[in-house]
Amino acid sequence: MPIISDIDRKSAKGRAVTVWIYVSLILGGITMVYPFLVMLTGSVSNGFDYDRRDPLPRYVWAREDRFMHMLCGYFPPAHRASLRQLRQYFPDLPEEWSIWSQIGDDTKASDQWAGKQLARLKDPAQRQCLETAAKDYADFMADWDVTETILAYDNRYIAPFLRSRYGTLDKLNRAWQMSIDDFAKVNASEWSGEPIDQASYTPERDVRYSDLLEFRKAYRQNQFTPYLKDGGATAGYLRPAALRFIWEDYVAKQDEKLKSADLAALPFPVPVDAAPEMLARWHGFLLTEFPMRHIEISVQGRQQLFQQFLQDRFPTVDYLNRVLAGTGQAWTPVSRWEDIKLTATVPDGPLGRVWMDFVRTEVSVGQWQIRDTLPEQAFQKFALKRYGSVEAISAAYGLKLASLQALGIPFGQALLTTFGHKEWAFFADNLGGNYVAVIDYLLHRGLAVRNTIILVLLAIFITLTVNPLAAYALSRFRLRASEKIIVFCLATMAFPAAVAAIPGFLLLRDLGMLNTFAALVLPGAANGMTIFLLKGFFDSLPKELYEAASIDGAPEVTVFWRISLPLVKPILAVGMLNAFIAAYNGWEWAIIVAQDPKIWTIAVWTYQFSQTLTGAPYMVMASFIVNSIPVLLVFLFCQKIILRGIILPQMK
Amino acid sequence: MRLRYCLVLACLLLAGWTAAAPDQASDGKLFRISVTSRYNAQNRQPQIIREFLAAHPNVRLVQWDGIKMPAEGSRASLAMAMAANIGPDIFETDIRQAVEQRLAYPLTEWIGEDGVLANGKPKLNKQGKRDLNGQIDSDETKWADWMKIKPLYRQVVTVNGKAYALPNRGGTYVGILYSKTLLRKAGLDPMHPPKTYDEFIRWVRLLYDPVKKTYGLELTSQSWAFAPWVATTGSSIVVQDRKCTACGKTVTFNEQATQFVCPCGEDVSRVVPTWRCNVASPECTAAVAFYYRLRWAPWIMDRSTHEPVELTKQDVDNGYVMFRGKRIVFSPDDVVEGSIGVTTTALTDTLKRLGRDLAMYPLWAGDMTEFQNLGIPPDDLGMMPFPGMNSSCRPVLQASNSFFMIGKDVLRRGGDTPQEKKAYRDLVWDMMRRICSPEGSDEDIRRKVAAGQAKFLNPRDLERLGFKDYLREMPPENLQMWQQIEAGKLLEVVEPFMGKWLQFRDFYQREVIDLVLRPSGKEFDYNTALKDLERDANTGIMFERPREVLDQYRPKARIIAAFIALFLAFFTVLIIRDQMKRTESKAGVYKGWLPWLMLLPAVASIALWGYYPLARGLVMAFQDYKVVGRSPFVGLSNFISIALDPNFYHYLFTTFRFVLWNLGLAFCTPIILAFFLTEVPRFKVFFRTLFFLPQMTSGLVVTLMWKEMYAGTAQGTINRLLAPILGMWDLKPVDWLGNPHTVMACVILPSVWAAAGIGSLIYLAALKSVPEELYEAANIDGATILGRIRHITLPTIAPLVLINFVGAFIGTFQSMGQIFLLTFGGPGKETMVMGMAIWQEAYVNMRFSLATSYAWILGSILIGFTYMQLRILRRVDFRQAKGD
Repeated sequence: MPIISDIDRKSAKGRAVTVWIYVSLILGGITMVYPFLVMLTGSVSNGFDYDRRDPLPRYVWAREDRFMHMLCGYFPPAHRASLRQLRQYFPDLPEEWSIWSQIGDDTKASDQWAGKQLARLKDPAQRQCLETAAKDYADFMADWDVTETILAYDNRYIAPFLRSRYGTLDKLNRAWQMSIDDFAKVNASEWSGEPIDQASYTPERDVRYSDLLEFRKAYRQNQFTPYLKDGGATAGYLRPAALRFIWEDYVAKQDEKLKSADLAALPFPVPVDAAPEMLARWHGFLLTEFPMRHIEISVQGRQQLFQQFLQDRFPTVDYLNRVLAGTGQAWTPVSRWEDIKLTATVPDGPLGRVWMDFVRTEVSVGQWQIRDTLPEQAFQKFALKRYGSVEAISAAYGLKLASLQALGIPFGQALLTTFGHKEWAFFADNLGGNYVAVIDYLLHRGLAVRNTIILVLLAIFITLTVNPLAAYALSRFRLRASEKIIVFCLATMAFPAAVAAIPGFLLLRDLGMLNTFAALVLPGAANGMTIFLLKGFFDSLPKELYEAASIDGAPEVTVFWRISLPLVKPILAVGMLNAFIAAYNGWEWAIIVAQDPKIWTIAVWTYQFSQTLTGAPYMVMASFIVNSIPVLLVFLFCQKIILRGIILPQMK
Repeated sequence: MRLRYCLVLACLLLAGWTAAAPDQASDGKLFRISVTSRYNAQNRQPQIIREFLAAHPNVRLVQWDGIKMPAEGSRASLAMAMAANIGPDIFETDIRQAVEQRLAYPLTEWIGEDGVLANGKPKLNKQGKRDLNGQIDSDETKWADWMKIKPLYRQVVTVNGKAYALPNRGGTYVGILYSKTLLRKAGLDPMHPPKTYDEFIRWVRLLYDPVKKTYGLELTSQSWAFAPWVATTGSSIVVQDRKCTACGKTVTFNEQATQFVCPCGEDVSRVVPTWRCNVASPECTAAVAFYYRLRWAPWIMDRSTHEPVELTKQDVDNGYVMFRGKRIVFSPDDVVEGSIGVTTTALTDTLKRLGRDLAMYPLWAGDMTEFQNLGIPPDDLGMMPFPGMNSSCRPVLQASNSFFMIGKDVLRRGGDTPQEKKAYRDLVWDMMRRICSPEGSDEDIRRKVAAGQAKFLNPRDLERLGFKDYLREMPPENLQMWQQIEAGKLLEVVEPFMGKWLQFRDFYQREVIDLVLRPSGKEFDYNTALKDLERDANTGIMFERPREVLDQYRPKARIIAAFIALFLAFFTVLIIRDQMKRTESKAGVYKGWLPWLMLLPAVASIALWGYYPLARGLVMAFQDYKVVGRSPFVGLSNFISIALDPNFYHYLFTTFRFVLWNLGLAFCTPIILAFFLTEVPRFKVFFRTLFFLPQMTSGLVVTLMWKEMYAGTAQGTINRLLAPILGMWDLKPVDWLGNPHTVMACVILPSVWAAAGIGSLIYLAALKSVPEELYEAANIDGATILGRIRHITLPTIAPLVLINFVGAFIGTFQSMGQIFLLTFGGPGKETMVMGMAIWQEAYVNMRFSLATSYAWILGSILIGFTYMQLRILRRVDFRQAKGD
């Protein structure tokens, strides 16, 4: 009953009190809801907007944010120089943008930039050019060599891919020469960012690498991203390993006056007939920074020189064999220097780096040829073949190309049109992606779901048996030692739980029960307080019921099941609910007594997520939400049970 | 009836399900040798391991990983697994702690032991007695490679004449990495690195540009990076005292000393040393003081000579300083506070800046190509030793070391017969030997040689592989450093190894170094902190308190213990008598067995999980509990140690603070909320549901969600919300959980927030049960609102409040609430409540006995309250509330 009566409410003072109470409740309500909204928004965000900690995901209503969100998926923060690579497709991307969260923080600037890009989509003439370029990009990419590509992949597809490829872990371990115990633990971090921009990088062509190439092909066929399959989505997550940006950076370092527009107009690769200063600069670049795997030389008359070079590096043939054979890469020992032949392009295997150093020091840079493995050069040739002239390309793409070499890979155009066609597919992916990843993880790693169900059922079963049985026995029958038994049960409460926890852990070990469900449920199975409470309720049932039942000749079990238990149902229901919540949410005891991932429940996995996935807080937030859903549902459906199960103490 | 079927069905399902789960261990004789994460078992394995696996197709090498603990408790997962007998086969931790706890399996059967010749016969000296020198000598070892291990490392891994560990491969050193370009640009010559603190700080300042934010040096608070600085003072963190047999004086030697000559000329190398932690000595303090000086000392740049000039406080007040006989006047804006940056990001992120806006960084490196993948060109990278404190101290390089041991759980594996077990042990030993073998990194070295990078490698590796010719090409700075090491011009040290260094170093970092480097470090009194730390280190963290000290207090302790035991017994008797007061008539006693059967599960369960642990806990409190083997009885030692430990009183005080704060907030909020919800005429259910929201998720989620909100950067949710307010006063974002002033409130708030809604339900029901007539009568009497509350409402709900209060008090006292996840007791020891301290002692430090003793002390403090609680319980009836 309210203390403030209706009469009070009519007075000014009473009204003031009521208003004050409402204000407090509203403020309190906001503090209750706000953190949840931030968490919910966090769970549908990515590296771009997680750090905003907004209560609502802005990309739901802001198209600019949707675009940035998509770009963040293509150029994820964890990958090598991802924003720098983005800038080579969008030259007007502000230079000071160096990390995604910083872009997300500056809503105004990011809106402005994204708005500018999206305006290109709206204008029909520009749209036409964009579509043309995107179409060409798709055609070019369709049979581009996958070794020269970069993949913005999702980690969660690796495990299923390898599982389908190898079947068993043993086969994988043997092939990859490692030993892991779970497909999901395969560390393939190098799959995202091979150092394609490093001068002396060449891929090591082993099993791992060929698997990577297969993975890339699967991505190119949109095996993992069905929403990109058709309908104008030209930009897949696999893109050519364009290198223009290292050239731009090289020039920018030498000539600080140049603006990004000037850099974007630079020829790449620089043709042999370029102006001498440009050519000199280009040669400097080739010698220091340009990846040597794109270089080809003529071997004519250089074999002798190469031998000399080898002798300088490896004083004797024996040295050479010992060094190269011990690198773990394939090497057939040679007996004479002459057996090693100079190749026109970088050889596979351990000799690769030697070849590079030889070319750098012994072959004049003017005689180097750029191979068609360089994506820019290949695309330029591709476009020239399709359109016939630089002017025609310019017209088709809506660009003002000074030369053919100024043409870059039109991945930016492809991204824009893909966004234009698939805006809502990306939106759905953003909204659900983190959740799908978390659920996928829970289903495929360990046996989280099975364990949780077992544990919850066990906990409920025990709640319904151990304590009620004891309480019933104490209430129904007059026993010689009833009181003593109750004291026996209650007295453990007098000592702190901490005293018993450590020996309890040791006892579990001695019984061999660690890492079993027994360790999780048995120690808390019986509880003196609960027995005491239940006994009180059984006591309050009318004795006549029992008498009537026993006169009818009903066995005790029937009396217990069919008469007594149903009468204390509300209390038992709350007990069951609490047992469910405790079993479902429990992790503190579990991390002590059940360290084996095989019996971890969802709650323990959630804990583990939060401790290990620090690099992807949005995934952690999604795992929090996933973890909360069952409890949420139970509470929504069981509100009545809770309210009916409240028990109040009354003085006797 | 339906219910029963459901239950039966559930049981069947359960049984089927558990049985259906495939048992992975059943596939014959497949051995999984596990190794802790210091060795990466999941990468491509080097040749030497591949050969082994090819030769033993039934063996797998697996990575051992336990549950991840919060950073400060990261060592707990290994300790807990060891205690649970499911530890890794090959692991790494404090050697001496592992030996003391018997976690490591001695390597005697492969290496041999002191005093036993390689052929198994005892080694005798001239007098015909066992010749023991504590070390395994060349004639004693059965393993050819043993003598190839550095003497210092042999000393480290040998405890009481038995070898327990092997040093990990790799000759990495902790030194000061530098960028040659940046040094040369500032006119500094890497061929002549600074030899003293003063020269070093001059370099650091010359390289520091506060305006452009380019740093000469950055420091981290990690202890391993700090340890070499202690060695530069000529002292060490751990020292050994040896009593001279000739002159009777006690002489102190460094931990890693190799010669033991007393000033009187006597050789004391045969004297048994006593080890102790020495961090508060003037020398070790000087090293911390140097960190402080680097971080906080004010200085100016003299414009005419372009030399940095350090300022005293007096100089700063005066506004001028005398330098080389000249008076330099400066304005307050010229003064620079501190000369370094502090690393707050991941090490690799800092390292990426080397050569750009950072010139020097103390870190480990095996050779100069180590960080090539981070974009640091090997020809720009150099390493110099840590400078000596003054010209009489040698510069220092610290060999960075880790040691692998064989876990005691190998004894349980491999099969049932001793032969099978021995075969398994041999496999594990072979694997460990290969993991630690220097050949493991040979492939990498050869690749680097093939790539023309031989000149950046460690000359020792090149010589070992027979590639001596490459030494000619080595850059002079690099060669000079390696040569100086070989010539003994540099002091080569390892991280401390006596005592529980790994355990100590967490404390060293948390309680001293981090607090010097923190933004609040300027006011930090490191002298006192070091003294406290040294005391703690010598009384448990690093070395146990000597028995004699404990014995001294024993008589007094016995008297106190007797009193406490009496006190406890008194309450126990009181509780039992109180509970048994009701007289029972013997008439009509039921004679059947059925009730006993029904009681059996509960009573047996309480006996097993309630009483047995209590009894065992009582015994443990008087033991020195060992995870493996027999635990000796130590009488009252645990309690004496606790009583002598000032930290105990701090924990107690912190617990009281925690409880008071918690009760003040968490206990009252639901009551007030219930009043509010009763009083609002409309939207009651809506508000109730709102406040109930936190209940619909788990405590884990609530806590971690708040942790995310408390983030101390500008991006933290709370800091973002407060940004306009903070901006008004030009304040920095608050480091909520790192600041001693805010942390206590912060660890309590989440539980208050989460418990308000659910807690208010019971009060709501209670308020509803107040008879309406009473209010009406009071209204007629003209009672005010407050008067009605006081005279009608409060008396009705009083029993409920009382019961809840006592329960909450007892519960809060024992709990560690959200502290485990939010702060793990930090910063420093600011939130180390009893519950947390017990957890840490037991599961991180593996001192189960001490932890149990703490728990018993906690229990005796609470027993009065528990008595009250039980008394009240017996006086009330519980009735179902009238639902709505």
